[in-house]
Amino acid sequence: MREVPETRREFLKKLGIVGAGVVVCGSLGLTKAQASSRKKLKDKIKIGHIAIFSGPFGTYGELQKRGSMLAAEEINRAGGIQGSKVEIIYKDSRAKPAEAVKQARRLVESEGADFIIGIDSSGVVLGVAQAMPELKKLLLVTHAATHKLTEELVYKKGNKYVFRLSVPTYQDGTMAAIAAAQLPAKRWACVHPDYEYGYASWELFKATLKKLRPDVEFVGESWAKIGTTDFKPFISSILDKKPDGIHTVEWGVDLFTFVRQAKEMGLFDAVRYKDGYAWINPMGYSIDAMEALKKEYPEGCWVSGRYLWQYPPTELNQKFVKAHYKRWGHLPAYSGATSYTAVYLIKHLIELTQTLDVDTHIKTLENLAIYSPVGEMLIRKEDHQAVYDVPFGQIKHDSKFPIPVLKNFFGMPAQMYFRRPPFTETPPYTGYPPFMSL
Amino acid sequence: MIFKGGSFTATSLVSFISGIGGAFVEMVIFQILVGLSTAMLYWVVSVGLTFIFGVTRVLNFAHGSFYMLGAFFTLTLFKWTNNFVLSAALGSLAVGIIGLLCERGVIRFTYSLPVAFQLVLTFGLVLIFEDLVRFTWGSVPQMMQPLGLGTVMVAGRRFPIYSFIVMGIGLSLWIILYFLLLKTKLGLMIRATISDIELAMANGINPHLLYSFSFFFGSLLAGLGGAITLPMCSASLGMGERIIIYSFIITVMGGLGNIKGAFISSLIIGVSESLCALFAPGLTIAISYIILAMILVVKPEGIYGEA
Repeated sequence: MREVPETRREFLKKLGIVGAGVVVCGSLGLTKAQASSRKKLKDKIKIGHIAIFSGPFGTYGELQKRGSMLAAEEINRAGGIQGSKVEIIYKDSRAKPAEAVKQARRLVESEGADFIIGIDSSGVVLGVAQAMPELKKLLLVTHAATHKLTEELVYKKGNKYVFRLSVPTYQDGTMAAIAAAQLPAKRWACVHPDYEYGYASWELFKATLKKLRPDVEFVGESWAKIGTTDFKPFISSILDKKPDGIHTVEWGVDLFTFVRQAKEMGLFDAVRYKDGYAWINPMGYSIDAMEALKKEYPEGCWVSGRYLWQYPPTELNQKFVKAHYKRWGHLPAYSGATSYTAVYLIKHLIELTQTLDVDTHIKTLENLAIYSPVGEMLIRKEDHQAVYDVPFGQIKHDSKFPIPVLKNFFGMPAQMYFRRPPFTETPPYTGYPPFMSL
Repeated sequence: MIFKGGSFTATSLVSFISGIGGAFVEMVIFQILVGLSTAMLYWVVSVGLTFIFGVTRVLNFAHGSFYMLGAFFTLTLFKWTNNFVLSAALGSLAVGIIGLLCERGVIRFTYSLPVAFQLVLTFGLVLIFEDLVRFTWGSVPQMMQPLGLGTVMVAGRRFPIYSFIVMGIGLSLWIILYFLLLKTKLGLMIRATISDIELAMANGINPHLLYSFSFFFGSLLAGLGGAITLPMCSASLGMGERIIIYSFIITVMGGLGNIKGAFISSLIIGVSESLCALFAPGLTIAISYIILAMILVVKPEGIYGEA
C-alpha cells in the first residue's frame, strides 16, 4: 500500500519536468503595487456561477457558493484582478439541463459574464457544455463528474471551451475499485442512483476491480431514483444476493436516507470484515453527509470525496480550510474547494495572459500546472481534465472535530488511475504516462 | 422460520408456504412486506389529495408542500419535546390548519373559475412554501435522531419495527375513513356533496363548510405523511415534489377522488416497485408509470372510476 506523502512528492517531481506555466490558486500572486500598475481590462470581471440552489439538492449550490464567494472576497479585498473587481452572479440550475443552458445563455448574452463556473450533476453538465462553443466563453466545471464530458465532448468531439477542475468518475469508479481490491470482499453489489453518474461509476468500478482481482464476482445491482425516501426494497433485494462488499455512489439527501435504512436493515453488518466495512462510498465524505449523519455513519467505512479538507496536508490547504471555517462556520466541501480554485484560476489566467480573449485562455490552460488547496493539478491538454489525486479513507468518529474524520488514507497518484487518452485501456496503469506532449 | 423471536399465529401458515418454495418464497414474501410499508406511506399522503379533489374538485399542487411542512414541523417540535408521537400529532395538526387557511384565504376564490386558475394558484403556493421553508430552516437537509425501535426478524431478514407502525397508521386511517364516510352524518354530507353538489345544496348542506373541512383534513394527512417519513429520511427542500408525483399517479390510477381506488393503487404501486427492485432493478424507476399507462389504456377513468 502506498503512503500518501510519498505519492505527493512523486507527483511534484513529475510536475517539475513539465516546464509549462504554474499558477498558485489561493495565493494572491501579484502584489498590490504590481497589480495596480497593470492595465485594467474591464471595470468588473463577471463570473457566472451555475449550481443547484433549490430542491432537495439545493445545499450543493450553497457549498459551491461558499468557496467561490470566499475567493472573490479575498481577491477584491486585495485590489481585485489588476484593479477590476470580481463579481460573481449565482444562477440556479434547478438540476435541469434545459434550465442550466438557459441560465448560461442569459449570463453570457445579457448579463455580460466573462466566465462560467460550477455545474452540479452529470446530466446538466453535458447540456451546458454543448452550448459553450456557441457562447464562446470558458466553462470551468467544479463538481459534475461524468467522464463523458472530458472523454467524449472534449477529446473526441473537440469542444475546447470546457475544462474540469474537479475529479471525474475515475474517482467514483476506478479509484473506488483500487481501494476495494485491497479488501477481503469477493462478492460485490451496488446501490446506485438511477442516472448517468451511477451507471458510469459502476462500469468503471467493475472493469478495474475485475482487472485487479479476477477472483471477485458482481452479485447484484440496485438502481434507486433520485429522491428515494424508502430504500428498503433496494436494500433487501441486495441483501438477498449475499454480498460481502458494497459500492455505492449515492450522494446528498439520498445518501443520508440510504445509510440510515441500510444500518437498520443490516447491510453494514453483511459487509463487515476485521478492520472495518467493505463499504465503498466515493461521495461519502461530502461535508453535507458528514454534517447530517455524524456518528450515524459507521466507523471503518471507506469513503472519499472530490477533495478532502484533511488532504493534502499543505500549508495552502490549511490556510484555505481555516479561512473557510472562519468565514462560514463549516469545513469546506469538495465543490467549495474546487469553486475557490476556479475563481483564483481565472484571476491568474487574466494576469498571465493580459487579455480576456478566450482562445488565448484555452491555450494557456492546456498543460497548465496549478497549485491549489485541493493539491497539485495538471490540466491535461487532450481532454481538459485537471489531473489530481484524492485518497480514500476510513471514517473515524472523533469528538475533537465537528464531524467524523478520516484515517488510514489510501491513495495513488492520479496519473495511475485517471483514464488516459484515447481512453481504451482500463486503469490502473503501470508507470507514469508520457502525456506531456510539449 | 418466518417470524423469529416473536410468537405470531401466522408462523405456521407462512412456514407452510415457505416449505413449498423455500428460500425463494421467503424472499418474495419479505419483498412484498417491504413494498406494503412503502405503499402505506403513499396511501396516507395520496388519500389526502384524493379527498380534497373528491369534495372540492381542486387538484392541489401544494399538497406536496404540506407534506414537506409536516416533516419540518415535526423535526422542530421533536427537538423541543423529544416526544415523537406528540410532535407528529401537533405537526400534522398545524399543517391541517395551514391548509384550512390557504383554502379560506385564497383557494376558495377559484372554485368558480376554470381549473387552470387553481393549478396556477396552488403552484404559486408551492413556490411560496418552498421559500418560507428555506428561510426558516435553511437549505441544508436535516435529520431527526433515529427512533431506535430496532427490527424483528421476518423471513430470516431484519424488518424495521417502525415500518410496522407505519403500516398500522395506514390501516387505521382506512378504518377511520370508512367510519367517517359511511357511519357519520358528516360522512353522509361529504358523500352527497361528492356525488351531486347541487342536490346536496338543495337539501341544506353548506358546501363551503365541507370544502374547508376537506382542505383541513386532506392537508392534515399530507402533514402526517411528512411526519411519519421523518424517522426514515431527512426533511429537505423539494421533498414534496417527489411525493406529489406519486400522489397524482395514485389518485389518477384509482379514479379521481375515489378513496377506495387510492388505497388499491397505493398497494399496487408500493408492491410492484418493491418486487421490481428484486427482479428487474433497471425498471424500478419506470414501473409506476408503466402500470399507470396500462391501467389507463384499459380503464381510462381509473380502477374504480371518478367519484
